[in-house]
Amino acid sequence: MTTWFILFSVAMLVFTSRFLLMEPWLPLKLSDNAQQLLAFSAPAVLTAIAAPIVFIREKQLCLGMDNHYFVASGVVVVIAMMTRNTLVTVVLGMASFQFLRYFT
Amino acid sequence: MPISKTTDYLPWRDKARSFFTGAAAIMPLTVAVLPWGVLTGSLAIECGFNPGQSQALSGIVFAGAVQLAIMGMIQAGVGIGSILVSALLITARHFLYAMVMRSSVSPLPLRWRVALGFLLTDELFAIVHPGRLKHFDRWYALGGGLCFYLGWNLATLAGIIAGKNIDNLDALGLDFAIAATFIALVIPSIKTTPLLVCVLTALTSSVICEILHVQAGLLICVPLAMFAGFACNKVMEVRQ
Repeated sequence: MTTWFILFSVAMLVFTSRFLLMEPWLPLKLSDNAQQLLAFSAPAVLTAIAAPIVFIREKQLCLGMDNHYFVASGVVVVIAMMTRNTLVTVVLGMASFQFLRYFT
Repeated sequence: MPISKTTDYLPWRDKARSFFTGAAAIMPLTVAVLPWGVLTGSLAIECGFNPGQSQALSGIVFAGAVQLAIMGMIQAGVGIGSILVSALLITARHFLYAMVMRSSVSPLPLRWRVALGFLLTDELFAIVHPGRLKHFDRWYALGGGLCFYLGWNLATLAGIIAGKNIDNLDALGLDFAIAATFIALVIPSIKTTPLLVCVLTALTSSVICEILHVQAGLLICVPLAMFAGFACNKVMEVRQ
């Protein structure tokens, strides 16, 4: 199996997952309840991807000051609540993370 | 008539303004994923992909989490069936995004549905979903999507060129950039109690799944968190 074949197969799969359910010919009618439910999808997915990166070190739950990801994420949460500006939040968050890594 | 149809008749000046407003709206997210893009490009070279294939990962697959997962699997010689199943698990959330965007995008002509479908990443969804953008605008969405596509691919190219020249690129904590971006996206969206319940459920369940080494953790945590938020919504409606 060539690498290119695998790449195109995966690309088609990813594209289908993004494209298919927006197609008008697909008989898919969403009730109010379904729409309400789907409104929770983005925060649910983004949190579920980010949380393990933040809280798990060496396959263990780590809530101490020695977990730089955990501490810097606290900083990110505070800045996000104060500024509501994504770029400022991410830049200051990355800076505090690097600071923690090199100076503690 | 759906609101999205009306942009058909706008003059080019207004279309261009929407396009660049969308590009500006996604710019912070684009800058934030640059380190992750560089990492993706250099890892692809390290995994033994040639430069063309490495760029194609970002150019045609265009999904950071999927790219990172399949690079390792292709390198390890895993069969295509397992690769596709893993990719499906990681990309499944896009079905949810597509369903949310359905009412806005499905009335558009095919070329728009294909273009916006291809560009529908976490980041684009974050700036165009109905909770954020009251009136859907196709040019705004296209501007945001293309800006992000360009940024992601240029970052990948930089990573390919840097390749093995950067030692311990993955030890720089670039995965924190992913977490920081997602936190920065989620926090301002927590405006109601049900949303807070949803986020806390996703947080707790995803950490538990990770500790228990559940393979398809996302497929459990995401529906669970969505239903928790939904149930909370219903309870609050009844009380009022």
